[in-house]
Amino acid sequence: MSASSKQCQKEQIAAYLDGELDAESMTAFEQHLCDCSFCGTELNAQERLIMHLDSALKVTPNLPLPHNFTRIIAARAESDLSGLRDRSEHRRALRLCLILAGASFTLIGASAGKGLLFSGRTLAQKVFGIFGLLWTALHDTAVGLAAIARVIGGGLVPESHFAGLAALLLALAVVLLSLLIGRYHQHNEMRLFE
Amino acid sequence: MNVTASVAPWKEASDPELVATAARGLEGSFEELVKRYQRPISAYVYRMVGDYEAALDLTQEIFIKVYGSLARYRPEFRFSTWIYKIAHNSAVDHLRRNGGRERSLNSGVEEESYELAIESSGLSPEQVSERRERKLEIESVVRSLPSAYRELIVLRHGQDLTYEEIVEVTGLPLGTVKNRLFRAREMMRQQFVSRGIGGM
Repeated sequence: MSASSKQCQKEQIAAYLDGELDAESMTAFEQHLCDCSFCGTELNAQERLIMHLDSALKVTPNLPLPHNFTRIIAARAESDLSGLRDRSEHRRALRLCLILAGASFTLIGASAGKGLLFSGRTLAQKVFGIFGLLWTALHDTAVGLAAIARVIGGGLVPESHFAGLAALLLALAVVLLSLLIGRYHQHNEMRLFE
Repeated sequence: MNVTASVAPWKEASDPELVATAARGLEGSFEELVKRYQRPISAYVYRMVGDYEAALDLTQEIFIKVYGSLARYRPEFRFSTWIYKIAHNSAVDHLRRNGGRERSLNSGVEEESYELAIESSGLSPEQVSERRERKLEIESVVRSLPSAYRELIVLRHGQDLTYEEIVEVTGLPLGTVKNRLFRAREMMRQQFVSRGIGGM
């Protein structure tokens, strides 16, 4: 190993052999190579290895591909259309579908005439009837609950100017109490682990 | 349109032309792309995952992904680099999913290997046999490398990609590619020495 070997970079030798050095680096490396026996030996060793790797690995393994593999892959890929088209194409396809749907409804409507319009109106009436019934039920429930709450609230809270403030203080007390209880339990658990 | 007539016109077309026509849905153009790349891609994937069935499944998956992404292909990049990038990601995902089953020489698993085409012109039967042995040994040593190193060896020596193309395919920085390639070769040299294979 020569004195300059400490400055030698084996990676540089590999890059040189792979033809990956730019002109300037290559010239500098070649000059260095004249003076450095370590790099010369290393270069020969790496070159031999690279030659063997190239000759062995550039040969494609003769993998037996199934019969009609090309056709199968192409057919599978072409049948799987998800993601193939870009967004503008999707939008165009959607517009086309809507136009076709509109045209077919128009044609069906024209051919069916009044009968179809009548059945459509009946269907709409039924749908509105169901929604109306649901709305009435919800409204009545809400009114009932409000009446119950008013009765209970009137009985519990005395009617005074400070009723709101008292309710607020009560709520605050409940929150503080629950926090204190929580902290107490946490403290007890920590003591158990000590 | 009969099959021969639909495929034959694409034989002279360049890869970017085929991509453009396949994206427009013209019959036969994508099939021609598959025909051009199915062998190198399946070989690359096989070398990466070391499993024949998985390599075939992944090859199909890769071409389906390619077809699904044709609209996003940018012609300023080489098609081969682009398809290897997709293949690389699929192979790495597969290895991640099956991390525990990654092959190595120490696993004791009998590895399947496929015959390699060897040019035998002017060689004696002994020389052909010796070359075949050497190639099988090298393939075996490549399979024993950790996947992060194996992929670079396969891309560089198997698929003949430049450092820059390897950077594009793997997404690794150039310095890492240089360093790992060098270290991979060093590991291989050590393996050859420990196996008593001379001349490397």
